[in-house]
Amino acid sequence: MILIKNLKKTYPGSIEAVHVLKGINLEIKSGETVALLGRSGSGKSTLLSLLGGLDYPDQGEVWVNGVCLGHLSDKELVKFRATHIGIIFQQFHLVSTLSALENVLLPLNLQNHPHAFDLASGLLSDVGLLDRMHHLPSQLSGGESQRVAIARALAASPSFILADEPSGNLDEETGERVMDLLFKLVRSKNTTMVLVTHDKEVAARCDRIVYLEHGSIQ
Amino acid sequence: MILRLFFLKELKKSYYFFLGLSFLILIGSIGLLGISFISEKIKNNLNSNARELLTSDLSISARRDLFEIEKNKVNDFFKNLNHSSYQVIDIYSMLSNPKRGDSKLVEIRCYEEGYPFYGSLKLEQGLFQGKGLYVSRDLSNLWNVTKGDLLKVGSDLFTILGIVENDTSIGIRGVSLAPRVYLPLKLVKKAGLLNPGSTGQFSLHFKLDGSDKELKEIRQKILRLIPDPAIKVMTAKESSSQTGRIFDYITDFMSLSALVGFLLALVGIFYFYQSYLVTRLKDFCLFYLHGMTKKQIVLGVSVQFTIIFLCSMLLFVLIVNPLYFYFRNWLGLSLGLELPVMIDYSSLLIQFPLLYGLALSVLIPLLMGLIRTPLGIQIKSSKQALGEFKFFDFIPFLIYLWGVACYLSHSFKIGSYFLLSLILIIVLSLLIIKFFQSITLRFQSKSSLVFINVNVGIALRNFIHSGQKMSLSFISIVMGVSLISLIYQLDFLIKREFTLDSKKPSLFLFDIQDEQLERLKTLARDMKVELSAITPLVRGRIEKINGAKFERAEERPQDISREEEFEARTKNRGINLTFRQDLSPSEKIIKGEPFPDVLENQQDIAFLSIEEKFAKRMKISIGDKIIFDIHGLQIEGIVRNFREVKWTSFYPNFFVNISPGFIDEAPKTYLAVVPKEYSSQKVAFQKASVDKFPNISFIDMDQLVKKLSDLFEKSRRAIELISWLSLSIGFVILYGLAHDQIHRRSYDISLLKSLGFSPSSLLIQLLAEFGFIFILATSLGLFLGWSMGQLIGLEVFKIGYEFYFYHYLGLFLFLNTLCFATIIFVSQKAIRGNVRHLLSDN
Amino acid sequence: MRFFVILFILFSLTSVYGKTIVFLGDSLTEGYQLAKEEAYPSLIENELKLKKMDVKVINAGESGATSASGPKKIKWYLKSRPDVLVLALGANDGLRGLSLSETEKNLSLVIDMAIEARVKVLLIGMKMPINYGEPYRTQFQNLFKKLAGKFKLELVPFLLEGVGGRPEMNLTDGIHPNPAGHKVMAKTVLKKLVPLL
Repeated sequence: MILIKNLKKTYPGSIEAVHVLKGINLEIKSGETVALLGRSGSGKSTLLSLLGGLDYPDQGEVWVNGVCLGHLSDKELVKFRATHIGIIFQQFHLVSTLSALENVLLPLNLQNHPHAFDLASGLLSDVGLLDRMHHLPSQLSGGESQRVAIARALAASPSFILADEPSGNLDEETGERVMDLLFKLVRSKNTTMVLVTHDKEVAARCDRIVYLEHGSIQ
Repeated sequence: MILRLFFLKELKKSYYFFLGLSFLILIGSIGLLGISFISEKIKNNLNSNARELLTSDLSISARRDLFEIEKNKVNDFFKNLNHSSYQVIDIYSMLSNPKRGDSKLVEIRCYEEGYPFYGSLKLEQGLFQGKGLYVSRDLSNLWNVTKGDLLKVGSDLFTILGIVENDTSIGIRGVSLAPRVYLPLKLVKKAGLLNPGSTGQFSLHFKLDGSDKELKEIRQKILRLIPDPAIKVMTAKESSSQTGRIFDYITDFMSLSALVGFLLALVGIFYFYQSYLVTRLKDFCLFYLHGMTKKQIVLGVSVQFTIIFLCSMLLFVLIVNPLYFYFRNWLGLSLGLELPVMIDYSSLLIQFPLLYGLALSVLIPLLMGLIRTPLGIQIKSSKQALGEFKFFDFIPFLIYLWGVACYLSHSFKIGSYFLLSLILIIVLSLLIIKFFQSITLRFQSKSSLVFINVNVGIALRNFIHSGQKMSLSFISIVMGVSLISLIYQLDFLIKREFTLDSKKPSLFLFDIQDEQLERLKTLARDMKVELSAITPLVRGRIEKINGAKFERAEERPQDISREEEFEARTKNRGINLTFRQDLSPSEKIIKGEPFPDVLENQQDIAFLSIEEKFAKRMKISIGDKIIFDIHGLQIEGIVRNFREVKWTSFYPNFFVNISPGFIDEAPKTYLAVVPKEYSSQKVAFQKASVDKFPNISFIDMDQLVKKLSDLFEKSRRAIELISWLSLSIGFVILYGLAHDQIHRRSYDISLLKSLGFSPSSLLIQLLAEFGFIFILATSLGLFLGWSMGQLIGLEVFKIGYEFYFYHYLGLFLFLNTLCFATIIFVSQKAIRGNVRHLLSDN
Repeated sequence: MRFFVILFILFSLTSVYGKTIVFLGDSLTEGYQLAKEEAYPSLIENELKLKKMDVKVINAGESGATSASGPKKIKWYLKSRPDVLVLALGANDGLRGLSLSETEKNLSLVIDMAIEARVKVLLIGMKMPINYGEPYRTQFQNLFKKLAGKFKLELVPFLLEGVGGRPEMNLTDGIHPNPAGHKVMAKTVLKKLVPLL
């Protein structure tokens, strides 16, 4: 369960400070899929980064499963992220020197998961890329890379998934297939997901849509 | 043209990149041109030193005056050559001091008008006018004579016109039994000392125009004219002995190491230009689609590079003047050179095209890659990739490099060795990388990232899949480390060649009679002087080696060549022996065993220790039995070991050492040395000694030792200079490459961070990956540098195998610490940085 | 200790046969850079043997030797019980410009010891090259005359008569005689030596 309390974030601008988030309050239930919809500059990525513990708020708190992220030390935050949060980026961001399998193994081996290989290959199979498991990212297409990223995000059985415009870099057809896969997996594992998008159709597939405009929820 | 304008606009856009590029070109150029400049100056300095030693360009000398027929031949030869000449005759004579009423042995340099063509006689006061009697500082001290005093030379009296403090013509061979005085030749003749029946060294000196090569030819021609082996014909270059030759090699080496410095800079240039071209690919695609041909694009890129290069050169010219002005004094003092007030730009300007050619030719592979890039489709694909460059694209660069290396080292042989070494470095590096990549691959688990731990596993996978850029970095590290290792070896070789005893000698004493030794020591102590290196000298002859008679008494034909005569002489002559149990500080056993303890030796046969080169000449082997005739006594000895002797230490050392207990009682004299620390008392000691022990002779070593020390210091400093320079350039490149590599990975690093890898884990990954590369590269570099050093040692210094484990370990640790520290420093930003930039909005 | 024994035996053997001549000198006597057989003492030995004289020659020449080494050396060589001493020291004293009174003292000491041991002495004189100047040259040459007179010795006035200053008689260093030069020196010395035997 995610709880966001009065989240504020300001960036120092060139002329004057930019208030990206002006006090966000949000509650997300376990298993819920939420879309954050808004134009560029609305603050949705910032909100996402704060949710994922990738950045610190100026004011307010983020609670995940009863743990306030702001109260964690850097070390604890890192560990928390590894075990509780899975992130899917728009640019896929696979480690270029690791194969598809190895990319999925990353979070598993990091936590010394006993059945890492089985889990990883299982996930790869779920995303339909088991036969490509030893291929490097350079040998995969955009869509395939994103599917590996999805498998990776799910590998550590996180409490929730953050997806930042996951189909943004893909063509329409591939994007649709990837989103199908993502929703299928997320729902089957009952994982909470916060999805950032500017695409209304993608947003419609989620349980709830949160509209962000100029740093506030509409 | 619109083309060029567009590219100029681009310059403004990516100014950071161009600044970096200019900087690289600049430091590479400063390194190369700076070192070239300095090594030229050192070379000139050595050449002028050589001429100063000889006082001329060419000399014809012998222990007798030339015969009429020989003189005529020489005059005829030089008739058509532009030249000046004079005669110099060196004789020993007894000078008397009318005031004191005693006489002294001196060496008279009889000079003619124009002496010396090169070099100078530095006087206590005033300038050497050359019209009368001048005496050296030594004589002045010993006899308490000074300017204005009268001395009797031969039948005439002369007034001392000045005291000579320093004579540049005194070199390593110029050690004299007696203090020197200088007097015009015709006056010496008039005083009756140069009539038939005089013995001395007669020399004809010539000042000539001509390069070293031309002088060499002239020398050969003269040798053919007067083939008498008694007459020596020398050019300045030849007369500056063994040490001069070594210096030649050092200055050539300096130029080549500067070239390596420039090459390292070129690696950086290649590396960054590649990145730059990749970022501009989209633009090139646009141009291409708008009708520009690939050729025009390549031309545009070349022009852009040329402009940057020219700007760098301009910057260089602007910077170098104030830099030189600021550092000139320090540089001159360090190297012991007189540096000109202004830099001679003409010589520098000639080198600019060299550098430009090198830099441009190293970019050819990139340009070829650009031509091979399918520009049309680039615009669509999300991944920008430059076309592959092939290895044979580098051939123009290698050829050009070979040319530059030959030019800088003035030798095809050395230039070729340089190129071959470079190719060897590159090939070996690539082989080692491939080898370790395949080995590492074999050890990777297919089902887990863990290898020791997950961080090392990731690091190794990074290594396995690392691309060209890593290979390039690896090669540049190997190059840099090879150079440093080679420089280290060279420094070591020079130290060995030139080591002076820590107790540098000021005075050398000989003919100390057996019964005088103790009393001499007492006298020394009374005068607060400590004698050192007291060594017995026993004269003997080699009679038989392994039963075969050693001496030959056959008739020697008259037309024997110089070499044969020398050979014959070295085989037949008597030798000086000493008896010692232990080695002197300047000796080292290189083959065989040391002498056993005196008490243990039960045999009646003595043990012999032979100097290595002497053993080679005499064809003596370990275990040979040699019979000596020592004052009528037959002594048999067995060769126990070969020694290496540092003759430049001036410690009394001998070709043959005999173990104690055999010749100890034979008639002998002693040698001894008064170390430099007592040189203030040397005059007083000499005077007192002459009174009590009139037969003991003294040789003053101060000037000679100083010259040798200076030479030694100069070469060490030159080496130090280039090592610092290479280290600096290497470090800059290392930093740049590390920075770039890590920057490249900043996405990956951020990604891993977002997945839950702590900063320390990330650091471990980086250190494991790069550490592995560094350790491999530095090991390879150290090994290659050592091997090249061995080859150079054999070729130039005639010294063989040397390996000091701890020294190399130290170097290894130092270099790796440097590399590791660089990585740690450079990666801080990436490791601790914000992960936000992974997100789409950024 | 052991070589003293060898020494004694070696030298004592020689006294059983014919006459022993010791040539005490410097590089000229040693035969600098030549084989021992080419130096004038060996040449003299050969000549005498040809004349059916039973002689043994001991070459006690040492390059660089000065008169100062004479006394110690003569003690050494007296052990071999020579019959004749050819004393050819002093040249190096002159070349190094040493004090002539010292030279005289040393040579006198040698001659004294020889005479006391009942050894006949042939004194070999030398001349210094012109460049050494006067009065040194004259003083040097007269030294030998003086000694010969004082001890009533036969004197060879100048060892290098006909050799010194002649390139064809000397090595390329111009100072030391070559084999041809030694032949001349042998003749010069032999003339005055034979009467002593």
